[in-house]
Amino acid sequence: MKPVEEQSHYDVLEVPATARRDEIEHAYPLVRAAYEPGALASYSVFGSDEVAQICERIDAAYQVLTNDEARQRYDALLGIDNGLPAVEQESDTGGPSEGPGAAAPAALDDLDEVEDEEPGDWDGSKLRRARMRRGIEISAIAEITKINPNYLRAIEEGAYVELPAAVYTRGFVTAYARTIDIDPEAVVRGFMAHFEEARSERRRGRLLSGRR
Amino acid sequence: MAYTRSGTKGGCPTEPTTTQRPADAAGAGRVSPARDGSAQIVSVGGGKGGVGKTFVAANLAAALARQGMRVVAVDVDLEGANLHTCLGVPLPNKSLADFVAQREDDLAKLLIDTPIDGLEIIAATQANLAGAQPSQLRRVRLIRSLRRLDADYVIVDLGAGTHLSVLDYFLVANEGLVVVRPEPTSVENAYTFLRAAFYRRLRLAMVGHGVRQLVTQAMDQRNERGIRTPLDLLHEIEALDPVEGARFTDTMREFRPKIVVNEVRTAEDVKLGFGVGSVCKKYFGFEPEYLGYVNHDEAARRSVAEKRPLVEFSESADASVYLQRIARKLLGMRDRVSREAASGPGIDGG
Repeated sequence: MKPVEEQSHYDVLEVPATARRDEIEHAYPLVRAAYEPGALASYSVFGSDEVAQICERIDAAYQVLTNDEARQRYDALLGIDNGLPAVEQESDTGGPSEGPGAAAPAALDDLDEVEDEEPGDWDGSKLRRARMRRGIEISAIAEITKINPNYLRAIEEGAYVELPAAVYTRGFVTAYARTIDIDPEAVVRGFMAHFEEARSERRRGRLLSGRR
Repeated sequence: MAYTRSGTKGGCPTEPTTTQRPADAAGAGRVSPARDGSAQIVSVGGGKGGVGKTFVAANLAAALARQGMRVVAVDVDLEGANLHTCLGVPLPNKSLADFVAQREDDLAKLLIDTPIDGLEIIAATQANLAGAQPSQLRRVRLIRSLRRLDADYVIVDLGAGTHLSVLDYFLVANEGLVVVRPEPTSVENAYTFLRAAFYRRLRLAMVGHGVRQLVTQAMDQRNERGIRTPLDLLHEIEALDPVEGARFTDTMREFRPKIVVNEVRTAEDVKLGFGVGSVCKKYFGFEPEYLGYVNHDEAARRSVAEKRPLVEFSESADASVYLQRIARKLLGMRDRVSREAASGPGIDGG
């Protein structure tokens, strides 16, 4: 275990030497966020000078490890043989890496992904869980989709009465799912079933109270 | 993973010995975790009061029981006991206080049924505030008894603060959970707790008297030697005794507390678990594992008001889904550990 200034680029970004480009891209913002000025995770442990130094190290590590040539030179310098020639890195190897060396974020994803892939019943809560896991705030979805954040919140909370007519709501849910990179079809099917059910219950309720 | 003395994995007997160790502070920490069929101990701590330790402990216990595990929830928070309430057990007529006051020696006789199948509790009540904390000897005995409970899981709800007893119940567990809320006070206290637990673990791992004293000095952050971080301490120890230095490094590697972020409201809050993990790596040199997060959910408040664990009260509530997910992860960890044990030592890490 070495102090930050002596750590390798891999240690600094908290990824194994075998990390693929996408794993490095995934790790960088997570690690970086912990050392933003005033960040909850670090303000009480590191002074502002130390934080600035760590951020510099993180940025430098990211620059090198996301540039294939620079990374190869760096690996050679350190005598690291990670079995990842630049050519292989560029090819799309598909799903997340497995094995004990995988980066921390992947560890948390394991079970959560199972949840996302469960067939069928998408509702607002499940949509919110998928969004949180991806680290995306409501405001970011509102910005991209131009949908009023109050509607986005109503979708998550299952506050069906606050949502507009079915045709609009369907469009909102589709845009939400797309923005967080989930296949909208299953989401819309699940969500709209809940939506229709709530609406018809409300209609029934109105009819009943009207008779009284 | 194993909180045995470094370098002597499997060296400590899990069976009780007839000869009692002297009341040395090391006694409790040297009890090694179970590696056989005995109960898996999961301690839930976090330093600060009010971050949801008891809520998390009660719900993980209930969730594991609902997965078919035989679970005992143990409230060792003698000064703020309310785990029984969270599990829907009325004020019990027997409790851990009876064990602490030596009115009862057999921990199993203090078990009380809960409304949840497969889940029993050893409650704590504020029976005698004057003598609330057990003596060192009694603590060692309690830890041994916990391990001998006939259960798959023993979930231990820790009190707040960094009292030695709290640290020992934390260190002795197979999995030590630290509950953090996304707010400055909670995060600060979590670091204080982790630091205290880590230094205690280190002190117990070091053999030489001189090195132990060095650790004790370093525990005071304003020590005269200018040892500020565990990495500074490591350098000093390596200079003094390379063998102890290697032991120190092993201890660092084996110390893997689990972080749970409770009451997350934003995606930013979710990232706190990674941040705390990263800071621990870069500052302390040990690597916590981010076990999961639980969102802020009105249903959680309602379940507490109803005196029922949320996973029972509302299986589909958002926070309930998260808690069940963490319970499944704990099950996965136990399986991972037994797989590793089966395939021999030395495959951890990579």
